[in-house]
Amino acid sequence: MSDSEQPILQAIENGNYKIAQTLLSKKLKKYPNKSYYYALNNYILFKQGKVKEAVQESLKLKEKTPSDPQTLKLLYEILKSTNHKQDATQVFENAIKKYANHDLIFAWFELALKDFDIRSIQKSSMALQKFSKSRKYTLWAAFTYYLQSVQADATTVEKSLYPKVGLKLVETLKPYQNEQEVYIYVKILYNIGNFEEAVVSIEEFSKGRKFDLELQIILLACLSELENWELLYRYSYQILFEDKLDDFDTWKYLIKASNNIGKSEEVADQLKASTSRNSRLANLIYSKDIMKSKTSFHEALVAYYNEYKYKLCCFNDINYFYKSEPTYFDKNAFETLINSTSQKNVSGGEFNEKELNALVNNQKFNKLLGKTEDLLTTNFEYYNLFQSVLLKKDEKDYFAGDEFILMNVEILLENGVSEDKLIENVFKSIVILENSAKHDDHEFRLRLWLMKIYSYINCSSLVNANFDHLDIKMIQNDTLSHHISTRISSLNPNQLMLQQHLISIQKFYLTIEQEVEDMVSNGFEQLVLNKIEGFLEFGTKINNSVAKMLNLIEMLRMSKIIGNNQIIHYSMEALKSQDPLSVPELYDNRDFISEWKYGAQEINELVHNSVSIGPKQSSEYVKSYYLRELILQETHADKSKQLITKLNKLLNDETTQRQLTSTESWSYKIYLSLFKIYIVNPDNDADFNFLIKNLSINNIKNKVFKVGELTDHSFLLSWEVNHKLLTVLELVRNINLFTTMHHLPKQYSPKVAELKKASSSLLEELRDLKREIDENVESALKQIEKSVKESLVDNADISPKVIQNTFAKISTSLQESSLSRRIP
Amino acid sequence: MTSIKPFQMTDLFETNSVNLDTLTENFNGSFYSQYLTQWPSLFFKSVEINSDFQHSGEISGYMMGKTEGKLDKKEWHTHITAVTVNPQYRRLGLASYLCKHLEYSTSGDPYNTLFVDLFVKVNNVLARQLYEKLGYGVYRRVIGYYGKVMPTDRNKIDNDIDAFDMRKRLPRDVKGETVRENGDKVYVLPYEVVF
Repeated sequence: MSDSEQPILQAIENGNYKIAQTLLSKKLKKYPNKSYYYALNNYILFKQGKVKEAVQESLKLKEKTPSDPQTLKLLYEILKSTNHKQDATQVFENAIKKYANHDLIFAWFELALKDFDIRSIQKSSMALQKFSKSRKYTLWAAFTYYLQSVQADATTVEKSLYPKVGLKLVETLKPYQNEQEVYIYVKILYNIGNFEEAVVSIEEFSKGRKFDLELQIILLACLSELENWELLYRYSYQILFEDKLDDFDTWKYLIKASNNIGKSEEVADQLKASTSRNSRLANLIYSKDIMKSKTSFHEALVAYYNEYKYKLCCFNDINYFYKSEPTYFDKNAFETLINSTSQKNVSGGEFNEKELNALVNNQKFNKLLGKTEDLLTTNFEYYNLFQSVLLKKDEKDYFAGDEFILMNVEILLENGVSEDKLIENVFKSIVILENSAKHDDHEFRLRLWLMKIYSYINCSSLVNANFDHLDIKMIQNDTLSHHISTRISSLNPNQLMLQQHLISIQKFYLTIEQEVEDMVSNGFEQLVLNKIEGFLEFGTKINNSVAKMLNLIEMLRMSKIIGNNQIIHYSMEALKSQDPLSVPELYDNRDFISEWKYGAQEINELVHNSVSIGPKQSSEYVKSYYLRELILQETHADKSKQLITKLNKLLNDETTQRQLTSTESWSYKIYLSLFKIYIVNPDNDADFNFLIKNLSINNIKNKVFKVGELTDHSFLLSWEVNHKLLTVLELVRNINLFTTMHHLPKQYSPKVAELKKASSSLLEELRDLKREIDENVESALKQIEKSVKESLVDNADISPKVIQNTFAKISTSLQESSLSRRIP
Repeated sequence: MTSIKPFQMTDLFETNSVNLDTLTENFNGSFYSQYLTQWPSLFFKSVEINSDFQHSGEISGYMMGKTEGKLDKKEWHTHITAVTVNPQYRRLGLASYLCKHLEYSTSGDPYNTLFVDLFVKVNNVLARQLYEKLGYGVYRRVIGYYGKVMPTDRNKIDNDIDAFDMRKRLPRDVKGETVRENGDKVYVLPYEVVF
C-alpha cells in the first residue's frame, strides 16, 4: 500500500464510498493490471451493501490467483464476512501453491489468528512449517493439528488423523527443551490414548527437577487410565508427603491406587494422622469408596464437622457430599449434630467470630435440610447478637453475619411472591440491606443484591451508585455490567448513563479486542502452548459476547430516545461491523451467580425470575433487535423484504418470544405490520386497521398496561411502569421516523395521514398518562414507607432513621426516573 | 476440597467471587496475559470440588507470580504479584498453600531463584502476620509505594501508603545474603526498588 492510496482508504473509512470509487477509478485506469485496486473496488461494493456483486467480483479475482498479500487480505475479508469461508481460505491456499513465500503465508496466519479461525490457523501453520522447518513452526504445526482435532466442528478425518500427524511432527524435535514442548507431546499422546509413552516422557523430563504442575496432572491422569496402581500410589505419595502439596485430587488418586495394591490400611493410617481439611474430606471418600460403610462415612463426617464447623468452607464441603452421596449421608444423624451445636453456641454466650461462623453454617444447613420455619426470626436474632464481631473487625475484612441478612432477603422475597406482597417485601429488603451495608461497606454480595432490587423498583441512580462502589472494571464489564444495563434504555434513558456507563463499557470492549489479538499472537511467538487454547477461547467469548452486543443495543436505543445523533451513528455502525446475524455463536459470559453465593448456594428461581428486569435476553433477542433497526434504516425495498422475512421467522420462534417482555412482543407486532404496509403490500387494509387500532391510548391502557395496573402500587413502583411507557414512546418515535423516510404512492395519502394523526395523538395522550402515573407513584411510595416502618422497627430491630433515610434516597431516585419518562 | 490447577485466561470469567473483594485488584487483560505468557507455571488457582451452580470446580483463590532480577547482583528472585482468596475459603491456610506452591515451583529448575519477595501495605497487619508465619521477614520499607505522587523524602513515613518489601530466602541462597534483620528500619524510595 502506497501513500497515494491513503485518500481512498480514508474515504472508505469515513463511509464516503462514492468519493473512494471516483479516486479508485483513476488508479484503475492508470494501473489496469494491479489486482489490489480490483480487490479494493470489491471491498467498496461490499461496504456499500452490494454484497452479491462484491462476492461475484471477488470470486472472479480469486480465480486469477493473485499473490500480493494486501489483495489477498481484502478478498479473504470480503469472502469470509459473506459466509464464503472455504473460498476465503482458498484465496491463500491457491496463492501459496503458486508463489509460496514466507510473508504471504504469515499474512494468512495473522488473519486467521485475528479471526480465531482455528482451521485456518492450522492450515497456515502447516504451510509455514512446510516452508521453513524451524523448531518454532514445527511446534506451531504440531500444536494446531492437535487443536483442530479437538474442536467441536472437527471432521472425522481431522479427529482421527490430525493428532497422529501432529505427533509425528513433534517427535522430530526430541529431545525436548522445556516443559512446553513436553506438554504438547504428552497432550497429543493422552489424546490418542498412548498413556504409557506419555508417562515415560514426563518421567524422563522431570528427572532431577520439580514437577511442572501441568505435567504432574497429566502424569497422574495417565497412570490412572493405565491402572498402573503401583506407580500412581508412588507418585501420589511423593506429591502429598514428600513434596508436601496437600492436593485433594491427589488424595483421591492415592486412595484409589492403595485399594488396588493392598495398601488401603496404610492410607487409613495417613488419614488418621493428618488433620488438614483435604485429608479430613479425603477420609469421607475413603469410608465411602473403600470401606463402603455408612457408619464410617458418618464418623468421618462428624470428625470433619467438629474440626471445621468454625470455618465458612464447612457448609460448601458438606453440601457437596449431601448432594452427591444420598445413600451414605445420614440426614437425621447430621441434623441432630448441628442442632446440638446451635444450642451450645447461643447458650454459651460467646459472641466471637468462630461461634458466628458455626451459626452461619448451621443456619445454612437448616435451609438445606428444609428446616425453614424459624429461619427468618433466628437469622435476625443472630445477626443482632453478633454485632460486636462486626464492630471489631477490620473495615475491609469479611463478616459472615451478613449471610443471615442475605438469607432473610431471599425468604422475604419468596414470601412476597407467594403472599402477593412482593413490592412491600422488596422495599423491606432494601432497607435491611442498606442497614447492613452501612455497617459493612465492602460486602460485595449486599451490593449485588441492592443493585438487583433497586433495578426492580426503577431506581437506576442507586443501582449505578452501588455499581461504582464495587469498582467494577476490566473483564467485570462483560460479566457484571448487566446489573446496570439490562433494558436500561426503557427504564432510565439519560445522557449521564449513556456517557458514564454504556460508552465506557464499549471502550472496554474496544481495548480488550486489541489486547486479545496481541495475547494470541504473543502466545504463539513465545510458545506457551498450554495457554494458547485458553487465549483463543477467551478471545472468541469476549469478541462474540452477548453482553457486548446488548450494550451496543442499549447505546443505540438510548441515543435514539435522548437524541444523540453521533452515538446513534456510532452504535449502528459498530453493530453492523459485529454483524450479529452472521456470528455462528454468541457467548453468554454474564455472571448471574455471584449474588447467590450464600445460604444454600442455589439460585432461587422463583425469586430470581420475580425480581429480574424481564426475561433473560440472548442471541435471538440481539438478532431480532438488529434486524428491526436494519429495516428501519433500509431504503432498498428488495433488501427490506429479505430482512422482514428473517425478522418474521425469528419472531415466530418460541426461543425469541421467551426472551421478550409482553410489551416488547406487542411492539414487534406493530413494527411488523408497519413494515408490511410500507414495504410489502400497502393494499392490505387489515394491517392498516391493526396499526391504527393499536396506536390508540385506550388500547395502550388496556393491552400494554393491564387492567388495574395504573392504580396498582406493586406495578407503579416497579421497573415495568417505565419499561412499558418508554417502549411505547420508542415505537411511536420510530414510526414517525420511518414514515418520514419511506413514502407510499399518493393513493394511500388518506391512510398515511390517519396513521400519522394516530401516532401524534398518542404522543399527546401519553403525556397525560405520564402525569397520572407520576401522581400515583408518589402516593404509592408514601404508603409503602408507612407499612415498611411498622414492620421493620419491631421485627428486624432497624431504627426509624435508617428507614427514613433509605426512603428519602429512593424518592429522589424515583423522581429522576420520572424525568426520564418525560414525553417530548 | 482444594486442588491446585494451572490458571487459564478463560478463568477470568469465573473469578468474581474472588475479585469483587475490595482488597483484590482487577488488572487489564494484557497484564494477566503477560503473566500467562511469560511465567505460565507461576500463575495458578485453587479449585474447590463442588457441584453448586453446575460448576465443575469453583475458583477459591489464585496466585500470580513471576521471576526477575540479576543473579550476579544476587537479585534473581520470585515475586508474588497477587495472591487472593475467596472470603468463604479464608482462615484455612489457602493463601499460605498458594505461596508454598510458588516456592516449590521456583526453588528448583528451571527457575531456581534466591528468594521470594512481595509488597504489603504497612498498615495491613493481618497480611504481614501471615507472611511472617510463612518465614518472610521485612527487608526494607518502601516510602510512598502505594501513594499517588512520587515521594522524594525517604524519612517521611506514612503507614497508609508505605509498603514493606518482605522476603524469604530459598535454598539457593545458602548463606542468607538476600535477607536481613531489622529491615523495617531501612527506608528506601520506590525508584530504588528496581531489578
